[in-house]
Amino acid sequence: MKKGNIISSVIVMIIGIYVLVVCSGYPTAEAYGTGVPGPGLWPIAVAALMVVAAISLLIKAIRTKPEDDTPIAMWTEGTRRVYITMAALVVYVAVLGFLGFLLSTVVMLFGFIQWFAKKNPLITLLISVICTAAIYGVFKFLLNVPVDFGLFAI
Amino acid sequence: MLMEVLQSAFNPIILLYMVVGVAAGICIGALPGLTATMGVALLLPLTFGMDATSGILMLLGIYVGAIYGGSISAVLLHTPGTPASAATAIDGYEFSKRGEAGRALGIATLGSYVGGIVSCICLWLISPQLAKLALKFSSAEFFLLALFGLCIISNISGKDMAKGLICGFLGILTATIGIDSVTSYVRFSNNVNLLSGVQYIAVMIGLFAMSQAFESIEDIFSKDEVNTKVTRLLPTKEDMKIILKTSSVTGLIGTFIGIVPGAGADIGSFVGYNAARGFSKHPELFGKGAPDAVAASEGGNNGVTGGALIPMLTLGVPGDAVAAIMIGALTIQGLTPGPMLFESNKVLVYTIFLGMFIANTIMVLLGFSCIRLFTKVLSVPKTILTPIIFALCVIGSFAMRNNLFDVGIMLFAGIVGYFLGKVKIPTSPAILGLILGPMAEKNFRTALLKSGGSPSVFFNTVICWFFIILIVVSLFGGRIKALIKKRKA
Repeated sequence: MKKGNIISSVIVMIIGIYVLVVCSGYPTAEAYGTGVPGPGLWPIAVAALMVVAAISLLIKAIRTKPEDDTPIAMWTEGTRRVYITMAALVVYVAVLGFLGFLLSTVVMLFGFIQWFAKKNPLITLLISVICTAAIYGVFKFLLNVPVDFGLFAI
Repeated sequence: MLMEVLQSAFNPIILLYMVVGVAAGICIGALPGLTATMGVALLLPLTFGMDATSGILMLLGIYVGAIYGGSISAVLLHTPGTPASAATAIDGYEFSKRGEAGRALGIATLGSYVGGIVSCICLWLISPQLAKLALKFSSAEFFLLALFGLCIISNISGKDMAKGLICGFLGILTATIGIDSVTSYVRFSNNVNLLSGVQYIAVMIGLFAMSQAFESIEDIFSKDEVNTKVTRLLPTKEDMKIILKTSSVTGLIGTFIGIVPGAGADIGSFVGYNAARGFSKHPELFGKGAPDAVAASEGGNNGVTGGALIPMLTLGVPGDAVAAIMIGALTIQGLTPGPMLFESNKVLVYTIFLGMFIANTIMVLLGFSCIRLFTKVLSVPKTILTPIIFALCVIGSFAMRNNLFDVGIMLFAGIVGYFLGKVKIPTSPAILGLILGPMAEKNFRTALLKSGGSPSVFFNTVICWFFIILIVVSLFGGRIKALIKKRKA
């Protein structure tokens, strides 16, 4: 947890400082002449407070004694499975626009269900097709969401 | 108006939507890993095509059903279906071990109902008064209210205040992306998809549904087995007495916890549980399968459901994460929650009040008649369900404005949410920051615009000072209490 807290507070600080730098270039109250703070004031105030909160978390993390520390398991069989899933979903979302909802979702569901449930591939395919068709049907016909985009416009 | 409200709430189609909502809610709640927030976020897109009344009432049904449904797996599996039932699992499972699972489920069902009804009554009594008061609020008061909401969220959302604050601030900053509403200046990104801001429904689906699904991938191969048979569901006379006494009190406690922004049903059930142990004649039986323990926890968490709606409807400030999603649902329908809603959409507001009663009644009826069916849900394999949740997250975030960019936002939020969970940073402050941040900023600047730039506008009225005191107490209350204790010692 100590390491995790240090890393997260540093990331938050970087985000905060980025916001501070970007927003300090925004027009100020004078530019508008109404006395209303410019578009930069609010993000600057929030980012400054966030950096303070991150510093307090960092100090607390550094002060944590090794015996009070509970390490976070970031590289176990379970988390590796999560990372692979994330990567696969990033690919799925990336190709969604080209391949269309139906095709890419059937492939996505087939891949995951076959991996997790290890059923007969034909049954998995059947489940994937039925589920995709059900979701597609509900959204396209009941809710009028234009789900037909991509290569085959389906 | 009464006739209009009755007509719209008892419209057969709306009743059907509510039955479907409650049943879906119970199933979602019963499945460990699927929370009430996730259920409402996942099924929200289904309401896009409906009218406002049907959509909101169906979501209410899901909410009420899911909070109750969590008790089923808490009792049968010792695993709370939603965090709201964690306290129920302690005593509920003891009943199952004794072969009295049916009795515990009966107590949970009736306890949830009593708690829910108490909160409905409070909703009905408190909301109109609060809305009347809120009509007197000007920008300065709304700014301080939003600020108070932001302070208290971080305070109660986790053990570590800095972490809650960080997440809240990240939410507020995310909300500033796009065109600034006061000066029309474009902040942070010129991307055309971001000009109107980050779609917070997509962020919510990511943070609450996607990241939870990722978490369940970690132990996707573990299996929960339900061996207990459910018999004798209806509570006996003695149990009824206990339920009525305990759940009505904890329902009231839950309602007030629901009103506090950021405090949700999980806190409601634990506070209710502890309170009931305090006034019980046999506190030693708590933890060993006491009927009042189950009744207290379930009364407490269902009490939150009505309470959370009070600030949402009257002030536009969500009482918990589910209420935050409902603000989104109302906004999509072109409605702005807040005191004006009570003026312009009276029928809708009172239909929501009545709808809460109906949803709770549907819940208790379904609970007693179909609980054996709902326990079957527990055998739905996670291995198939989780990939389907992925597909639902994708289509749900797309349906918001038929934009693939939002799907990317959802996935990003889901991945971030998973890692935030790993370092124990609570995610609900981010959502409240996304909603309260713009409210705070807009009112802050409008107030200054009206006062010609003088900050005295924030200290002018009694209501302002009331909020300032609340803010100070919420930030430093814990420390002041500790200091007083130290002095006394």
